[in-house]
Amino acid sequence: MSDADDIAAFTEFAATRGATLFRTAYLMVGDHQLAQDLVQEALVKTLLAWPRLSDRGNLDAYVRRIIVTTCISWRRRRTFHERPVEVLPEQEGLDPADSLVSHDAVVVALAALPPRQRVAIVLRYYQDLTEAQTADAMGCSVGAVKSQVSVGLRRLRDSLGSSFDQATMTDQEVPS
Amino acid sequence: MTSSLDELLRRGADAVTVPAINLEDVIAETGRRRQRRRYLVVATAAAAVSAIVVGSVLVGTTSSRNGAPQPVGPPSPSVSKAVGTEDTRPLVYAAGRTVHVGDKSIQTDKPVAFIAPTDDGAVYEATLDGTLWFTDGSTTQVIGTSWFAAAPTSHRGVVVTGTSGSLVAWGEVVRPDRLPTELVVFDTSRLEEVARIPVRGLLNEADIVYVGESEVWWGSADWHYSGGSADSLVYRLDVGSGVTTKLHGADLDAVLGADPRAFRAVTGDGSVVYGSPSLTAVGVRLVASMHYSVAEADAAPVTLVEGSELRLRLPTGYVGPWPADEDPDLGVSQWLDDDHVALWAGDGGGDLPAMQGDLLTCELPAGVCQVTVPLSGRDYVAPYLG
Repeated sequence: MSDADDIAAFTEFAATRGATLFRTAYLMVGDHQLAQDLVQEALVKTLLAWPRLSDRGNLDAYVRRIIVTTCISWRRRRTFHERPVEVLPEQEGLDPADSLVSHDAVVVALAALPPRQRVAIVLRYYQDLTEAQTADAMGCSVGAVKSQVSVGLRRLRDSLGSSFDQATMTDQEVPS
Repeated sequence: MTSSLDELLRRGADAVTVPAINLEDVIAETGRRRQRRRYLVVATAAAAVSAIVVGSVLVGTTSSRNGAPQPVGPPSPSVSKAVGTEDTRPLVYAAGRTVHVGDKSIQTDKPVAFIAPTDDGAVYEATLDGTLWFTDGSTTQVIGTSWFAAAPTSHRGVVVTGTSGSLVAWGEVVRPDRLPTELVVFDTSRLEEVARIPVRGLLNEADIVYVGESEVWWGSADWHYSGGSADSLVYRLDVGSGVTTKLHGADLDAVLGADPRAFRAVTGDGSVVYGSPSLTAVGVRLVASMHYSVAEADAAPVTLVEGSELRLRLPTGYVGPWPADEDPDLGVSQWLDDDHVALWAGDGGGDLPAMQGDLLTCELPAGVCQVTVPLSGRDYVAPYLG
């Protein structure tokens, strides 16, 4: 395949998947500009590796993995990783359809988590990946994913109060 | 009306305005980086030639006489003093372009992004590179090509060594238009490839799950998605005979149950799970636990093969590199022998394994740990059992 063909195929991929990649990145970093930077960096890395990417059907997983590893590795070079949330958004901003907790409050509380917990929760609950797929994307064991999700959910509950607990806990998550 | 967490996240993500991606910038930046990498390759080759020339002139002189600043490396690992038997593996890790194997070290062309131990040395891979190398600390050689090379920190189930023995197993790309379908096994004591067999779905839904001293196990898609259930299908390659056998998760559990270098925990329903423990520092005490569900209450105590609980203590007065507002976080890097493990003391929110912090060596029967390689504040890459 020529460079021109590579560029054309890559452009089509980026145009098709760009919005989803951006939204995922936004949840992982909690900042519009940083999410743009993260997607741009992931796309550059993807295009660099493009000639060696043999399985184009698995591109989503490949780029997701790059976003995850880039997001986590940026931690020490950027300052976005810690966003203490002492005051949550006012409750009157709640979505009328949601009497318990707003999506804005969840996004803000999520941004206050350490990167690995944040990434694990986004991959499990937003990307709807299995624990095994999440472990694959994060380059860790299924046990480590469980640990990160567990601690991350606990911290979200601590931040958002019992309303979050009631809103999000499923039968599977209720400790016996 | 209530909302599940996935709905809340979806609404949060949908509420944000998606900017147009500037693909011209992406393509231009890619071109610049490709150009820089070419320069780097040329510069590295030129530097190697210069080193050979300079080396031939300065033979017999002291290294300080060449006028070049000497790199300041971390202290030499003292693990041999702490452990000190012939059956003990050398502690392996990499800092930038330097791969450390016990008291030896060797320079690489590119910064190392992945490293794994065998009884004989270290298997490693450079950043943005699919080439696998093996070094005993004195010499280095290419042993194969791995997959997912551009995200090399993600080699769980991709390039795997055992906690003992000389085997390293990985999936290799067979045809450029297909997923990798060949399982390759290399013996680092014989320095030769000892097995190469086609495996359907390898590295897609079937991960390499266990490498022993003479066998390699990989899971089926069923094993993968069931989280390793006892009745799911797994496969075992006996490297000596070349025979592959179809088995079940319970058979793998039996092997792990007898492995002196495996951590285990009993779940709430009485079943036994194997894996890499989370270690949280509470004062000088390290609390080891294994999570097997998202419920925090499901973190179970970790035991060793003979049934004793894993209990470790940090050195008196040791202050780890973790941020003050995060849980002190440590993980198991590598087994050195049946009684000693190396830990990384990470920062609680960075890469897996932590790429900054310290490496500690712990004697399991006594529960005593000591800082073996202080690397706080400097990037390094260490093996990771998870």
